[in-house]
Amino acid sequence: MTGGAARTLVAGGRRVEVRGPADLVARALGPLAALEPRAGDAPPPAGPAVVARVEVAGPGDVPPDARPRVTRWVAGPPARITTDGVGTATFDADGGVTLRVREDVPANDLAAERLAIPALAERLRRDGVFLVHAACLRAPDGAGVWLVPAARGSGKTTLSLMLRRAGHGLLSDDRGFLVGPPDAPRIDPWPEAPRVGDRSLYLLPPDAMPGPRDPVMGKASVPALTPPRVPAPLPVRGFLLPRLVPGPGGPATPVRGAAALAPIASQVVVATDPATAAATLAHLAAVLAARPCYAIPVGDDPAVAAAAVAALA
Amino acid sequence: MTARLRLSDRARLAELHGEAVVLHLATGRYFAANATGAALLKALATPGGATVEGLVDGLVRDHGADRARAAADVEAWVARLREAGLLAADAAAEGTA
Repeated sequence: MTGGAARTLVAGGRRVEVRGPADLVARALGPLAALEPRAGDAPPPAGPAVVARVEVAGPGDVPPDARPRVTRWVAGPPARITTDGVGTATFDADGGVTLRVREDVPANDLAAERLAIPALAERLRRDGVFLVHAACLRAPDGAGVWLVPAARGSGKTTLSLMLRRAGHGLLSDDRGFLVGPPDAPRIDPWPEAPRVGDRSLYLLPPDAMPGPRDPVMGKASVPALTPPRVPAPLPVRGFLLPRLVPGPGGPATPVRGAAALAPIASQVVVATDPATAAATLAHLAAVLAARPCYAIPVGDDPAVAAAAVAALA
Repeated sequence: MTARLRLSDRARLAELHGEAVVLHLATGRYFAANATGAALLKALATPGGATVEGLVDGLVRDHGADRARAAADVEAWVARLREAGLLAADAAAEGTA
């Protein structure tokens, strides 16, 4: 183990300090490092930080490795999130989170995606900061951000890249932090490079070369399209639900009720305290009641998808 | 004896525009319901749950449904909820009046 580290993240206007052995912290952070303030960013928000302590897991702290690795909520005591073969996260009385991570966890995104991110998401939900799985696109007229919540394979990245070609600002390919009251929601996009599959390759600009393909996901990261970090959360304009269709695509249609709520709710509250989950679902429903939601048929003509969204002004 | 059914402790219900989504917190599996289904889900979300007969009675009373058709629909609907792990496994049996 190397010496101690203290790294600061900013998520949804909340400051998070991650402390522990430097190499273990690095493995726990993974893609969370994109949330570190960059040179020239606004100063991190004032007020007390959420402290995440990263420690080496002791014998018996971590469930045995298994396939598939499952991340689950354990009511306790102590209440915790555990991930098979990776580690455990406990929620401390001082409002902090303690991540106990196996020392031999691989130096890839495993510890972050399966443990640290679910744990921080659970902790931040308690402060009204909701991690949502959605692409975030700033409309060309600057009037707010469209969120594109969708499960893997439903056309989220395809629609995002189509809209990018039409002048939307791609602020996140996959997730962001939803904050603010339900009738005035704002989003802090998580600025990660988009991951592109075969369906979307033709939508990349000529100078944006994808990296190596992930053998599991079948997608390749495109570092050249890594979004900028926005200085503060932006107003949410509404929600776009992609629906892959044969042919060129078609006009947008309004979506209400369960069809609007299910795609976003199903991505948000897995491995969570049931009480937090209930509050989160109620908040998401209130946000969706206050903002429009549309289905966008995504075909093979980017101009049709762009026109469908442009007509929503 | 008629089993009382209720949502799993690991399931949570949310409503929007009169419709509902019930989500399993461990698996992420969900079940979306229209306004009629939302009323049934809310009955299952009460602490005491509901019986199949009670759910059918509700459909007949509140929506004017044909009883035989309502009974078949509820049975199929409950089977889908059970398959998705959204019903409590310890449904208690209770005598009917």
